[in-house]
Amino acid sequence: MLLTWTRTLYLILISSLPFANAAPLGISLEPLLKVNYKPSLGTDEGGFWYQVEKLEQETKRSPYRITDPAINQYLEKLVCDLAGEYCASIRVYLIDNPGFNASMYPNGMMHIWSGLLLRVENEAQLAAILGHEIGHYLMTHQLQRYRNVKNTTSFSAFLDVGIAALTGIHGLGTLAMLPSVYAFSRDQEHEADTIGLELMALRGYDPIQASKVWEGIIEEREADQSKESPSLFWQTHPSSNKRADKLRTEAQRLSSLNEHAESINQAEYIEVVSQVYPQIMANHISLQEYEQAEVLLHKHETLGYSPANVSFFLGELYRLRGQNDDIKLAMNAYQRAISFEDSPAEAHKQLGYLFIKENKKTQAFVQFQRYLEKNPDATDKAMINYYLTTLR
Amino acid sequence: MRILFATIAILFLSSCAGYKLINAKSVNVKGMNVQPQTMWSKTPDSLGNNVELWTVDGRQLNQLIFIGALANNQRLFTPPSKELPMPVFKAGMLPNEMQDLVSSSLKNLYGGDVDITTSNLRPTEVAGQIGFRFNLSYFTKNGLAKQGDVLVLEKDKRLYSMIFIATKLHYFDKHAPEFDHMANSIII
Repeated sequence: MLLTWTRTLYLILISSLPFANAAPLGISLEPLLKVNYKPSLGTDEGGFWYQVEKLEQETKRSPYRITDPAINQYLEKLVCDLAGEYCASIRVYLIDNPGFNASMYPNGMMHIWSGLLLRVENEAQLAAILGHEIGHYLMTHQLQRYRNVKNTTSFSAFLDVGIAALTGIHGLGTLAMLPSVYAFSRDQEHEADTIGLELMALRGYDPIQASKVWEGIIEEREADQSKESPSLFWQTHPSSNKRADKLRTEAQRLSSLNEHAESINQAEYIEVVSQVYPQIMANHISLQEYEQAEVLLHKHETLGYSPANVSFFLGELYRLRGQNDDIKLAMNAYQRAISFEDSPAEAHKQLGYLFIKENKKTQAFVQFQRYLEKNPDATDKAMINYYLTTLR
Repeated sequence: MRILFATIAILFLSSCAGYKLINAKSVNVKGMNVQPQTMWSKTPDSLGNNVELWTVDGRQLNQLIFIGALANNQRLFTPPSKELPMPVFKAGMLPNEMQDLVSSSLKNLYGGDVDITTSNLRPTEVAGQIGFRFNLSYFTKNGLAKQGDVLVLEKDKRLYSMIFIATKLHYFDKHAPEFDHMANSIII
């Protein structure tokens, strides 16, 4: 009840401001497409949509799509809340890819990569990014880019959008094939930022979280020496400190207008993402980007992800990195993991293997036994039983 | 007209250039002696100094990768790009480490964004010692299901491996028994 009143109050406030010429969505910019818009097939836009619709059919069937019902419902509801009357036009797909990315396609399809869920700290930050992408959609930025590119030699490459879009090789961040050509312009980025912030604030989220998530991402990008530096998200969303400053200023202004726009919903966010955390974090570890993974895991611990899982994955990363003191670090991490009730069975097994390397046979035996007790149907039980026999 | 036909014939043949038919009952590949039961072809691919690749129906449908006498600190495959680092073999690796080594190496060989699942790691007696077998599976970027059967072992501080990967539909089952036979009868 309070939320409804504060929302109404906020809408009154925002519509009384000089810049506001509130569209039904409640934002200051007029969307360039109507609800449930569909172009006619004969137009260039229609052709573009047709390509994208084929991609959407592939997305639906893709083995890289995460179909966990709880998290999908959560994302759909969040996008729906943000998109208001455009809710029915937008469909969300969660993709199992540990890279950081979210993309909006001109026909209303949205891809969110699992790697993004690992970076974002709370629901408000997620809302910031999704709101930003919805902004690109409402202002038909993708079509504008498509039209700009159509007359260049990159055009034929652009049309070759396939299922590879899901795994990051081809066009992402809204169908960018050749990033410098397809990057959104500064004006388009600014529009998307504005809309994203306003959508967030209208739904009661703390808009400062938008600048926090972008700053964190810019920082990660600048520090990152690994292969994710030229990530597709960056290629289509050029960042700059000037942009981060602008975002911060606007966020502060919106925040001061409505002191009730303060929700971040961290606990609920962490709880929902925890359902798929083991799967998506394992996928991140397999990227072999250990420095990044370490920073991420320490952050996860403070955010409230299961310490058993976090410790287990720290163990995995140290074990796989295998430098200097990493074996010791890995063993400590696994030991910590197994001290919790909800420790993954794998922690016992990996610890057992490390004990073997240290020639601590009795301790290895104990851990292998625990592993099979916790996971009697383990697919590698033949291997573990072999050790249990030879270690006796 | 004859010149045209000759040109077409030459072009057609040149597309098969580089594939070498393996027509022997016992063959030495990268330090491993194996006994194929069907006629495989060695492909012209160069995946690494210690690697040889065979196929019967084409690499997308089935492939048999041999890695032989890989020394300490060497990579299974040449990294396809700077962005896709390859892990290295270390003498004395435990079976779980060898499994991770093979699956991470394959992942990066295939572009870095396929998700490879391993299972059924088990010891096996081959070449007069203990080796390890495991299964793997993944979906290509296009959603095609692939399955694999792997043999890996260390002998005299060198890594030896045979990796059979084929489409789950039909092609894996077609040669799985033969791979099993080759893996069990390997001589190093």
